[in-house]
Amino acid sequence: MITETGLITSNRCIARNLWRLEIEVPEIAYAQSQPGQFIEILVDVTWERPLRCPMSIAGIQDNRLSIIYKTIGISTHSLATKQSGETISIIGPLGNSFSIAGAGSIPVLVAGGVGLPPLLWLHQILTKQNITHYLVIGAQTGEEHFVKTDQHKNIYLTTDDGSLGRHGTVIPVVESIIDKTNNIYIYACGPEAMLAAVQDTAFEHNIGGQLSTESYMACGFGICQGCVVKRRDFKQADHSYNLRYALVCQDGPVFNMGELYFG
Amino acid sequence: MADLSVKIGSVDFKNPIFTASGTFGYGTEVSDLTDISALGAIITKSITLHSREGNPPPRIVETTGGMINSIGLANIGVDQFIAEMLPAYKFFETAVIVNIAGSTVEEYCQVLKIIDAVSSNIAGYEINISCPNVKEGGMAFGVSADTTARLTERLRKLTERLIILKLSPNVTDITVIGKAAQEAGADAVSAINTLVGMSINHLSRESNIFTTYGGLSGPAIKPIALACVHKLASSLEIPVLGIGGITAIPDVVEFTLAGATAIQIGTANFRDPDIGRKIVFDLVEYCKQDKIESFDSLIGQVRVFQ
Repeated sequence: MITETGLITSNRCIARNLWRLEIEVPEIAYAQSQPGQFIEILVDVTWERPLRCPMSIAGIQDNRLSIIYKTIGISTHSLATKQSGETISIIGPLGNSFSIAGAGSIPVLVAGGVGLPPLLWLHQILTKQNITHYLVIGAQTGEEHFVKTDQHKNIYLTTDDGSLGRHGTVIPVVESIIDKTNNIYIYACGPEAMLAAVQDTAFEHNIGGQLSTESYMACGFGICQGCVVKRRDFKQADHSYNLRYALVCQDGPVFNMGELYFG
Repeated sequence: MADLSVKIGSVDFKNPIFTASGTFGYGTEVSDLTDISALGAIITKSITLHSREGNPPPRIVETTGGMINSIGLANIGVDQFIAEMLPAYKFFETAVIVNIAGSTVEEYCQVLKIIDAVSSNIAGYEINISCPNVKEGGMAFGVSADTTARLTERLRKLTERLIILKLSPNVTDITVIGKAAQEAGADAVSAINTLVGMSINHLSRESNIFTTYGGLSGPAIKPIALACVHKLASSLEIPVLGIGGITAIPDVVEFTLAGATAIQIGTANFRDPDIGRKIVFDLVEYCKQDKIESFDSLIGQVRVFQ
């Protein structure tokens, strides 16, 4: 956990309302960050928007870290106006990360909306290691997709409105992969409804995996106690001080399949 | 170097920059990001008799110039606090004030008694009678002068250590509650805790906080906090600790001029946990530039027009 002033090297729109920001943060980049971890970005140096924005790391190359964000609120719209050469305060790396499952299982990466960045990074790592895997990406419309579908590389797209890829949610695609593939292991990140559906599907087929969650948070490092998610098992005492809840920022954002209760 | 030390009751603090309860955990969490020994004191998260899981999410929402929280006093409970935190405080080079909450007078007393019976180097207690986010206790005490007096009187008999009552701004006249605390033997009061607030998502048409209402904090509440501190300092003999939207030296100076003997940094810790240390550093520079020999000479020195 380091606080560092980063230099913006690129900030561009890559799909409808989706932006990729690249920042030079040598200390954080060399802090052995892993897919799943996140950073806290200070967008507004005035105090009008006092809190930092938590953002998943979408990749690290040399001393450069990238994030992919959706312009949905005041802070993300303001972030989209930042130019190369400007500096920005970052705290990171924060939270835990995906752990790559043991030999033999085939990873299936399931991303919904802005849940894609950490899985895109994991996808790059798996590709580099020549590990056969699937990547399923869901979005509301085709304009929000910036990764190209490629059945040879096992990359599948879905849209809610049917404008690109398969019409509907990611779940039927995941089920068709389950039907034709043995010994799969799921990595998922996306909206809560998608995570709940992925978890139900995994239960149904007795498949293991890891889910990355998000939550409103004020700090990102355990002192606000704001970012709680409900546990299903009530077994493990967490940074939330009790068994019922876990903190997304420190006990997560990645949890094992079956650990969390959605809804 | 200017003298930054302040005295509250019989306790000397090396400087007036404290961290507010609930915004700095137990003081042990952020050692990677700051040096807490720079601070005048840290005030712990509220401790209750039994551990509390807190309120369901969502617990946090950002607002213009601030945020609303409804954590619901999630904490590890007094037994675990004694086992895990008190030993750690022996190595702290900053003063520790333990914040206590309860749902009955008995519960507050029990928690204080249990902690006070253990040998430790804590400086004293801040009594939370102003949490807006729990059904029983908390603010129910802080909106009544009678219960504030009754609670303070009972606690006063239990310890020689500092007793600081943390007051709610959600009252008609905060000085009435402050006076009740003073007359019942409090060493100081701190003001203000959060204001009851609400946030709604116009798209989903849902409340942004599970408990509907939560506590508003941050720079947005600073003018209200300054007025409360000035009113309290003008009507009480005991010191006032100022809290509410402090992010930099001008805020510290303004609260001090309004009458605060020390100040607490709250919401700003979430954005920059190193902010307290930076403010102490800046305070040294400020005193040097303004040729101030002892910072406490500024307490209550605001010039008002009438």
